[in-house]
Amino acid sequence: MPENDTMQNFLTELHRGSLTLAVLGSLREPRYGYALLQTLQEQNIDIEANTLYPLLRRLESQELLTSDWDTSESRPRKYYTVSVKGKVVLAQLLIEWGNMQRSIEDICGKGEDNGKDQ
Amino acid sequence: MEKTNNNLIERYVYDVARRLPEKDREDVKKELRANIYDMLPEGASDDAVKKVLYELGSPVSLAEKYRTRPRYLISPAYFDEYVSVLKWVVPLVGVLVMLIGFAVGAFDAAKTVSTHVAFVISGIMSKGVSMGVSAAFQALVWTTIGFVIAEHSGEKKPKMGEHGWRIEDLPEVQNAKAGIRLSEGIAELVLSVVFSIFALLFCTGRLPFAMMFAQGDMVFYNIFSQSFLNMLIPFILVSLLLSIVQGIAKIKDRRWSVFVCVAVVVKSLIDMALTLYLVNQPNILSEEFYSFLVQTGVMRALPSVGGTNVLVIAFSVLVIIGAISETVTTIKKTVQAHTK
Repeated sequence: MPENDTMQNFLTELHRGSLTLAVLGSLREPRYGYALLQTLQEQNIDIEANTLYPLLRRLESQELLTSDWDTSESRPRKYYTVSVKGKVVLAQLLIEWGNMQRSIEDICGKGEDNGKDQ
Repeated sequence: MEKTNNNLIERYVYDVARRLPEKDREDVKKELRANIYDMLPEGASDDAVKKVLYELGSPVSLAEKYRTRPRYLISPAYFDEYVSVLKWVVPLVGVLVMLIGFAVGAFDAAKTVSTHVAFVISGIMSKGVSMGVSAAFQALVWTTIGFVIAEHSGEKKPKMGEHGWRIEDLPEVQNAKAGIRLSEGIAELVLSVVFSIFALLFCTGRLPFAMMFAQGDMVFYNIFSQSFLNMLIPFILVSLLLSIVQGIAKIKDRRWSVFVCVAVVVKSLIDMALTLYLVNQPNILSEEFYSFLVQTGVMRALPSVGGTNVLVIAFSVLVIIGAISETVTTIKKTVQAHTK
């Protein structure tokens, strides 16, 4: 269905930027990839493994995350934590997030008004 | 079972990693392997492994997501320019070389004794078309290679001005009527080259051209003297060269630009000068044809003015009028295109 595809594209575009916030916010304490994926999905963040793992790698290369391999158990795991630089970025992004939300609400009206007017 | 599982996962991880830059491969492999095992219970079945791998998606798309920079042969920064260059280079080179092919085919045909018209024409056609098509492909390939080199040599276009572009560089809005159609340029090019080829063949005596005159019975005369025909050759070549420049200008710019205007004006003025010079040569006509004209009384019917035949004067006037009117209309069109 092309209409569903279009809707999916809108949602993906809308979610894209917020994923960085969700990941940085969740990694205030160390987590490995799959555990983080489960945490996010429990919070109803719509993210797939094949999006999260490359994103973690990118954030690490941008020095927003630090990582550590834990080889003490039978399966080696890479634990990620938000870095100092990451915390600064997160704080700035959160401010912007709040501003954007207020602007959008001012333009579109609060959630409860929507739909009734039309 | 554990072994086949490992094998599937290893194959998947390998297929993702091999699509990434070499420096990232080992890291990504290690991360991805750990993540996949985390997603599976201990001693998972083949089906469970397959399910997880399908969830991760195709290795191509996953590798694409791992790549920090999208890969381009020609990036959007160059693509517009690439297409616009292709649009004129490919047809131009194709048509030019096709015409050269026609010429080569024609000379080949003239060399052979065979006078079978169908054979000669098919030879000329196939030579022209095959050379034209292969040249068009060559043009496509080399233009592409040029742009790929520009893209990857890292010599990005220097940004102009403080904004990266300048208002002054915006093109004038083009009136659709002010444009020159691609077909016009190509048709002119084809016609002038074909005409020149036949003229050259004629002048060098390779084409059995002769004027046929019926006078009771059939008599054949060569109209022009051979000395005049020999003299004609460099003039034809100069005119052909000018036509090619004019054709290229029209195909490249497709509007009445200054370049097109200059090419057309220069061509029409030089053509005029050449024609006037040639028409006023003394020994244009062959002796046999001249004596034929004298015999039939045509020469007496045409008076001379100051030693010049009236026909020559009339023709010269027509040539001058034609050249001047073309120059004026060309300049008018160019001015119009630039003021709107």
